[in-house]
Amino acid sequence: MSPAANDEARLVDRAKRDPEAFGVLYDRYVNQIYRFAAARLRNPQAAEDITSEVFFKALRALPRYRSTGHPFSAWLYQIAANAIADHHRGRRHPETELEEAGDVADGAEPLEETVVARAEAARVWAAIAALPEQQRMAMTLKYAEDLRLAEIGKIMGKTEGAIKLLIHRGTRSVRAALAVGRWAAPPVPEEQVP
Amino acid sequence: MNWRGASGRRRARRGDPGVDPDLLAIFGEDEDADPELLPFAQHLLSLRDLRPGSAPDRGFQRGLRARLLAEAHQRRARRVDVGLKLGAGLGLAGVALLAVVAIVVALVPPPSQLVRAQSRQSGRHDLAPTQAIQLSFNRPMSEQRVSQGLRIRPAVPFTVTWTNPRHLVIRPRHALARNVSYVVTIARGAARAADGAEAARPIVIPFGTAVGHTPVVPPTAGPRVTAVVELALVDGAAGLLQGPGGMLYISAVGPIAPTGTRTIRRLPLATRHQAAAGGGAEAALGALAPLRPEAAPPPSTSVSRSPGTRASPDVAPSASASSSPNSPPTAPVSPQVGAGASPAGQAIAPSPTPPAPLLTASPAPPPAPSPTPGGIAVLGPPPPAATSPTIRPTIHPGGLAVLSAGPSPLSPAARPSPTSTAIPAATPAPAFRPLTPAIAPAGPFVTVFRLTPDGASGVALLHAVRGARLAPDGTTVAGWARGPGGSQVLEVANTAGARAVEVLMRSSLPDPTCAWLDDGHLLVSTAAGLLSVGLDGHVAPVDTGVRIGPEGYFVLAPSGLDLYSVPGGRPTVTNLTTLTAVNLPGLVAGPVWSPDGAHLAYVRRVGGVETLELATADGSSPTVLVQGAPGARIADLAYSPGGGFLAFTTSRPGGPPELTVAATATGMVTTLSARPGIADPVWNAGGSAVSVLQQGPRRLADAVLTFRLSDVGAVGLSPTGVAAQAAATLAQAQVAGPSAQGLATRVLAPAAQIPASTLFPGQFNRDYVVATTPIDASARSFAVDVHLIRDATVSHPTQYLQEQLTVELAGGRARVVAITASVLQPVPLGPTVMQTSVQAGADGTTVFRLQFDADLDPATVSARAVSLTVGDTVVAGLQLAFSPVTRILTVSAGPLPPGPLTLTVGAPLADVDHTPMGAPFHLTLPGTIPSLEAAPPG
Repeated sequence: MSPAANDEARLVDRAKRDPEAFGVLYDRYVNQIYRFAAARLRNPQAAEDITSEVFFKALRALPRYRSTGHPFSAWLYQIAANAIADHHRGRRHPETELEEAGDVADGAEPLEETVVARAEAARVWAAIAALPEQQRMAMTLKYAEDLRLAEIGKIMGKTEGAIKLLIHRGTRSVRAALAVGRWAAPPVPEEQVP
Repeated sequence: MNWRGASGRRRARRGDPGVDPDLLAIFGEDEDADPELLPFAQHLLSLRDLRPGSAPDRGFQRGLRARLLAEAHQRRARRVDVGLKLGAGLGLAGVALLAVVAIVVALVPPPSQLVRAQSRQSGRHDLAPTQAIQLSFNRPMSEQRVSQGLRIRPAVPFTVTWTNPRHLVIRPRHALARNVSYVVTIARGAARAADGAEAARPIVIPFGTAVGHTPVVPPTAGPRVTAVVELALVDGAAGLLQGPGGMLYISAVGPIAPTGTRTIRRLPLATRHQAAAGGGAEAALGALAPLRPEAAPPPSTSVSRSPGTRASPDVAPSASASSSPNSPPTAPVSPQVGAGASPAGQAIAPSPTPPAPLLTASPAPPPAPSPTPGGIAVLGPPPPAATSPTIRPTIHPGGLAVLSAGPSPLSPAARPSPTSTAIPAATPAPAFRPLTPAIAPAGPFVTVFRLTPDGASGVALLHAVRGARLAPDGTTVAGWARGPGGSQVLEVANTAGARAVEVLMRSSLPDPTCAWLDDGHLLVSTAAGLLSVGLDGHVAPVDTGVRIGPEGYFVLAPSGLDLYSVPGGRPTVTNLTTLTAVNLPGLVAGPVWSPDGAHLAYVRRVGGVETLELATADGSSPTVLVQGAPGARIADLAYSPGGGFLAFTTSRPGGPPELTVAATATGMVTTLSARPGIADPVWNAGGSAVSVLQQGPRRLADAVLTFRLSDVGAVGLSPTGVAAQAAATLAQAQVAGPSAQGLATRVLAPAAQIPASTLFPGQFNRDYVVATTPIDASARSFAVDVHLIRDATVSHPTQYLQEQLTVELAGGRARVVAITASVLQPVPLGPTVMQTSVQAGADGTTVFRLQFDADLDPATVSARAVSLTVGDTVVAGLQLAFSPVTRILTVSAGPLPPGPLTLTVGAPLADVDHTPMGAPFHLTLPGTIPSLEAAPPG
């Protein structure tokens, strides 16, 4: 086990008794879990709900947590994946996003590059969102969270080989979708009067 | 998509050390695989930081952390408790435990059937006073039952809106007090779902409002002009904006010529002193007639107002309405502020002749020249290669050195042709956030320039656009330019001027308007409603329930919850949460929202008389701040950055406009200047200067002038105010803890014997300087009552520590020389006093102002609740008024005999939830009332 993994194991062990240590774990992983939920749900409010649910569940289940050699984050992702699945099951109406595009340019880089890069990222994530559920989750965990294949397999309950296949297929599909979209994508939208 | 190296990105290959090993394992193992997939996959990985929704809201993050840790502590405490008990009698307890478990399993619903709620605002203590509180439930709720069981402490009136059966929005009717901890509770029995499920315990949502600058004692004098400088000459000036970093953004039909901070008038020291005594005006005229001293009580307190008059045109800071001491108890409580205030209703004195204007000018604005095909009216010889947006120097035929801008880099024909895009379905109840404050009708096509604060250089950003708007962060400016086929296109440009213009969308409307959301989206008005437009061109409709016609325009409050619009000629403020509207009849200027979004300022004209009024952010509870003379016009409202002052222009037929500043707390007015053609005042970021446009008689004769002011924050502080500021500094240092030791040492007297343990308890969340009263007759020594508040936690209620500081003024500084502290005790129930001030008017009246943390029930504001004694004598004839807008109870007394004063307020005062004041409040003074005469801190 690497020194970092040892540190994390000790921190998790301490968090079972010390609330402040749980706070450290929370600080370390809240952004990742939120991002994962946001990428899957594309709804900030729902992503916050899922993030809350993940950490409250983790807090309550922590005394029973036993390390299996995977990072602690893999356990959190597993909880999040289940919570998102529950969310999808319980939702009666699809939620519509008001703002799907990226955030405003932060001024650190030229506006044009920022706009282009964000627009590109928005198209990529829109294409990933259109993939089948299993591919979408594997792609999100790889490209958004940069997790190792083994960790993704642990989270999704699949073999590493199966994850490779999902990501391979997903990546090909995204590339194909973007290649089509490149020619069809409108550079400037026109106001459309309903 | 650009992942092949053309954009400079290196193509990932097998064996490259920078390639992700997993991706290599997926895409690189098969030599027959598509060679483009690996670099593409590697590029996808590089986009992870740009994916949407990459970071949660900070407030949510903090709130969730607080709730998690609270539960973690509770669970830990329970484990310890259970462990101890089990250890003491394991056998018997085991049997009992089994029985209890059996009962619990039988009676208590499983967690999945319990009602749970969460709020993004929970645990946050940085909320704006106008923030709505939103609760999300895990199941559809019984809306009526929940609404009835809902409480906010300290009590404030609020409205409740259900956007759907699971989502509740609570909106305080008035802006909340700053720096106060609030708690929303829903009783356990009221937290019932539509299917009958209940919460396991009461739902509690704690939150707090952000600390804001609230003057302990209202300033007693307005700002003074210390210098007037000219930053630039402008041809056909159309508008002025202040941006971050002190940058000025000027809209003009023609070019501008930066002049580099040329001082055109500096008041000599003697003159400045004179000006201070007389108002600090560069020239003071009399376009304002009756003025009032402070935001008046709400209509429910039945306060009438009799107009006062400015005494002398060259005594600007006097302004105040007065009220007769013999008025009945419900009459206005308006201290006569400043010497020489005239009786109510007196006609305005004739204005003196204004000083000769520094630029020969006529008030009439120059005709707007037609833009050249490139969009720019160039006065000098056209520049040879007119493609750069940077201003280049040329020589004006009139001999003035000017800078002229080249034609637009994107002529209408060259602009990309917009195409269609799908617009998703409308989303109701948008989560608006702060916006650019003002959206006005578009006006003429202009060039937008950015001018450095020193007037040394400028850049042209957008050419031939209308309705230009600067993003709140100052990085981007947007405007409407002529598009193909008679349409208009929405252009944006980086304010650094480093790149070309971007076209976002096209509109077929003749006069479209737009505003910035703080997340970088633009809100655009169209014939069909409002659209949200991202900088990437993504367009989404926004359903506000308000339709704005082609002739209308809109302004959104900084809170994003209120929309001012003119849909069909009727000025209306619409609450976007409840979609209820308040009409503002007779509105002729504004509105503008205060920087904290809590108040709205606007000008109404009724019967030929214009009044500058303040209201709460949703347009309710209007009060008159300043009243103009008959025929006078009030326009161009601009809040100072701290919200303490409003700058505006006033004018009368035949007279030059005046640049005027009014204190928002008192209505005290200071005229800064009277110059022909001045308009569009804007404050700089520090509130130390006001810039204006001055329209000249000829093209290129317009000017950008800056009036440098004495320190608006400190000016006019009485010795009491100086002492209170020192106490506030020490209180803030104590709340901040040991890290603020440097702050504390600035105000601690060197020889003061103050134990360090008193100074830095490190256990408090907020502080209030409640009262500052002179100890000696010379008013150089003060007793300051400070409350240090410890917010409630799971283990204790809200508590406070009362400190009494002794502050002495010496050598131009205020020093804390002693501290005595009480024990920590719970904050009593009901309304509590947060701040007080006492002032004496020249007519002998004494005015006490007490600010509460809660809204008082108007029915309880009566003579029985307030008593004033001088020695042992009870003073009769007190006049009372309470304003829910400011939460200030004003107590006014006529001339008082000499002697120590004690003001007591208590029962039957109660808040709007009928909770009586838990403990009476006493304010004791030795008999020396600080007068309104300003004394500089030194």
